[in-house]
Amino acid sequence: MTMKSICFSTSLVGMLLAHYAMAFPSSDPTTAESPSQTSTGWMPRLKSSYNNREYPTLFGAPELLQDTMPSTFKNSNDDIQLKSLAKKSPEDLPQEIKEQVAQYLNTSDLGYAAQASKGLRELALADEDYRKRVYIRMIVSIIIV
Amino acid sequence: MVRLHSSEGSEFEVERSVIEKSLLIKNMLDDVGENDAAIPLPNVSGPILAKVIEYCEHHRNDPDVDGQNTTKPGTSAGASSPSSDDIDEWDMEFCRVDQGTLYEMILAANYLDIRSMLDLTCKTVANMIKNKSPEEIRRTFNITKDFTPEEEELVRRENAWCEDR
Repeated sequence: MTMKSICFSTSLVGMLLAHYAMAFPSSDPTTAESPSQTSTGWMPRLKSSYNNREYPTLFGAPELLQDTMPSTFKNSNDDIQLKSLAKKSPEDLPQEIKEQVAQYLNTSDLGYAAQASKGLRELALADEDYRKRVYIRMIVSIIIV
Repeated sequence: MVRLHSSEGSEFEVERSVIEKSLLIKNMLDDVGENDAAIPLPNVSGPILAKVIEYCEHHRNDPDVDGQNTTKPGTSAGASSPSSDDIDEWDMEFCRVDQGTLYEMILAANYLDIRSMLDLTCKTVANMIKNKSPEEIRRTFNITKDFTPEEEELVRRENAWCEDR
């Protein structure tokens, strides 16, 4: 009788432990799984290795370390960044920089630059004095016609 | 010392007094106070950041030039533009790089808000345009004429006054 109740208690405890293990999986951060993006898509990966890719920044928010994903898996934003690195002409500079460059050129130089290409015409038109000259020229040509 | 991280994750260590030529970094450091964490600069690559640090180190004792050359002197009279000929020898040598690097330096100086470096690099580009014909400008920057014949004629008439140069 005693033997029977010991066996029953042991199996009851075992069942309880099994149930507990299923209901509350381990909370140990080194073994818990969380999804993270890898070069082959979404794969489960150990949480600890994911966290190791982060480091604190001056602003308190965690910053991801540079990824090691092959370029074939990069998104369109990366392509834009690569294109920007390939900039080779003043035509491609942002408008505010074009204005800055234009201020060091006199209107004659800007006039010649404007005739070189559409992009450099934009650079020339960034300058107020040049715009005035072109405008005056337009008015005069209309009057003459 | 201040630690900087370039876009590829390369780390650079530089004296605070040197890198404070960058108003962006100066303001960041003023805001966060003493902090050992590296400053991420996702818009600046390693080689360009190295050039920026080289520039800041050479000009560390220069007086602040903020506000200089921001407006055209004599604009009201429609006269001359600010001079781009006042570049000293070291700066000229510093800017003797390929055009791609020069444009990256301009963008970095603009992003990091280093006024004097932005002025220097823009003057260098302006000097590459000065006293050149449209064809010479196209050759210098390796760009193609993208005007249609009608547009070209229009632009030529628009700029006919240039022939007086």
